[in-house]
Amino acid sequence: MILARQHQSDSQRFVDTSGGESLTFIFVAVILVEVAVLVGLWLFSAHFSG
Amino acid sequence: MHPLDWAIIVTYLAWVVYDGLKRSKNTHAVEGYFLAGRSLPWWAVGLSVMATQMSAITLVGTTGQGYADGMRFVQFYFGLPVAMVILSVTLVPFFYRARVFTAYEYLERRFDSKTRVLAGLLFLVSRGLAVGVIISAPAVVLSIVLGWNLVFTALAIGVPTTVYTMVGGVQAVTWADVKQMVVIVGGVGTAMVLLVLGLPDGVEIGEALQVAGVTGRLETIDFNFDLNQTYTFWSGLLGGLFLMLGYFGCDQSQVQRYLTAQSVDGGRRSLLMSAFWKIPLQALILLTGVLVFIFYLFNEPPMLFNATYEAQVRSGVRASEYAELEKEFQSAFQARREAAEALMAARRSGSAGTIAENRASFIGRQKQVSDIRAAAVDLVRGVSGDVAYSDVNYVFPTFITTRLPIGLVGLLIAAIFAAAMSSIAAELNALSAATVIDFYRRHVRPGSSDRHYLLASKLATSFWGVFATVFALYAANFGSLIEVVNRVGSYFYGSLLGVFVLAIAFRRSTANGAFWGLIAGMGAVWIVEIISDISYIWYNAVGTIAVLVVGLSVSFVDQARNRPASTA
Repeated sequence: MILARQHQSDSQRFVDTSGGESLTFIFVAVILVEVAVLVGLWLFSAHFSG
Repeated sequence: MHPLDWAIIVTYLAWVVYDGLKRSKNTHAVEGYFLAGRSLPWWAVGLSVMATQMSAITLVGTTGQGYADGMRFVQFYFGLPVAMVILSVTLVPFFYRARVFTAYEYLERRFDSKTRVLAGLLFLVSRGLAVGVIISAPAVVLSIVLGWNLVFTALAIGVPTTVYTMVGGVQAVTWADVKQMVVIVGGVGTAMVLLVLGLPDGVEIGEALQVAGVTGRLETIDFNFDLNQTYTFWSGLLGGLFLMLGYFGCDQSQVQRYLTAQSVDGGRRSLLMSAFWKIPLQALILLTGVLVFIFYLFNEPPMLFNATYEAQVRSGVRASEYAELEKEFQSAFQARREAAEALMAARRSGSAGTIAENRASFIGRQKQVSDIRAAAVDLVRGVSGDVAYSDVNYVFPTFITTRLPIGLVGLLIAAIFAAAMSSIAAELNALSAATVIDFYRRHVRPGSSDRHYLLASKLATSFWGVFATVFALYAANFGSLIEVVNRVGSYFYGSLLGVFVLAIAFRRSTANGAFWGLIAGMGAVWIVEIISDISYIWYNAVGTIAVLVVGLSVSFVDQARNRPASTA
């Protein structure tokens, strides 16, 4: 049983995006939100520390 | 403390334990006890992931850091969102589909028993001691600020947490985490609102923030690339990326959270919740600390926030020195308040020359206050012998107990308890899982019934709860021990991350490569720590790279050795 599971695990890819639904939109949203948050923090600093 | 505040804290503790006991109905099997039968909704798991990461010392220490140093600590988390996306498409589907209980279980399937044993042992030792610290650190702070007995405080944190974790398993942990996140966010939000409402008449929040900004406390991004600095944009984004990959990808206390989700997508979504909310939440907690700084610009703060040490110095041989410093501090505080008011008045008048002049004056007054506080801290270090003493962790609890109205003191203290308990519960559950699944079931008593392992799991949870609470009482007396425990994690996570990358990304890597790579990774971190001043935030990257280099080299030699034998 262990061998069977090992084989099953080995056959998986390192990057695996498969699943019940596509989360690509959410992955992109995470990056966009992070960029927006960092820009927001930078503007906040610039405004109040200037 | 007022009886109403006591009632809030006791009610909160009773509620968490009662709810945990109710959850025991659904934990009749080991899979239910450790993984909730993989049935939990992603949003509950996501809140549990966030609650596990936010310990009491994070809450108390982060607000203190905002008060003393400002918001630059937020950069520490810049790598987290990217780490969550990477984990969502690599380790999360991998662990989920492998149907494992623990991350280390997979290492035996892919490599061998010794790699699993080493990884499991490292986890048990490092996290077992760390739970003690997670109990000890807030217990010390709360016992001093509230005037409670230290043993009582540690027991008040450790015992209820152990009881509901032992009885209710991961379901109790997760649903308690959900409530605890609500209490934490509600408590911090309430404190922020009160701090803003508590500004003196005529002072707008915007101009108060501009005064705080003059001290550099609102600087959130530093683009300098300096490996020795922990809080820079690049350290957070790159060093923090490896740190977060290691913590969320390889620490059983986090891996076990997302394995409880209903599906692989649910596991992914639970991590992505942190990706969206962690940085804004940390920024708000730091901003709370800055607002406490602003509050104390207009209301006299204590010179020292640790009342026990203050009393010790006052009654010691250097009492006169302290009294002298206190007089200087009072006049320095008055001068700083006047300088802050003058700066705000100058900004309203709009004259650039006056603004610059008042700005320089305020900076000078702020430095004077800081210097006197630093001298007082030095005095404490000399009198108490606690050379590592810093009163940053006492700022927020002192503010809560001395400045907030009745009722809210209880709510905020309950929030600190909540932060401690959520982290401890997840760690206890994970320690029990690793103990039973990776050691007891695998090496001590294989082939027993599920009922037997369920009982063993509950006993293991109790053992780790008792161990952590007892260790917390010892750790409270040894500041350096706490530091040592915290460092163990940074040796471990990066190296373990390297082993999982070897396992999943390099099919030709061998068991020997993984084992010696893991040891080499920890050795590399140890050497880097000794010979350089590189910030610990980079240790995980060092560990991961060392594991990959050594692991792949050993694997290559292994294969070269085996090739002639297999073809002969």
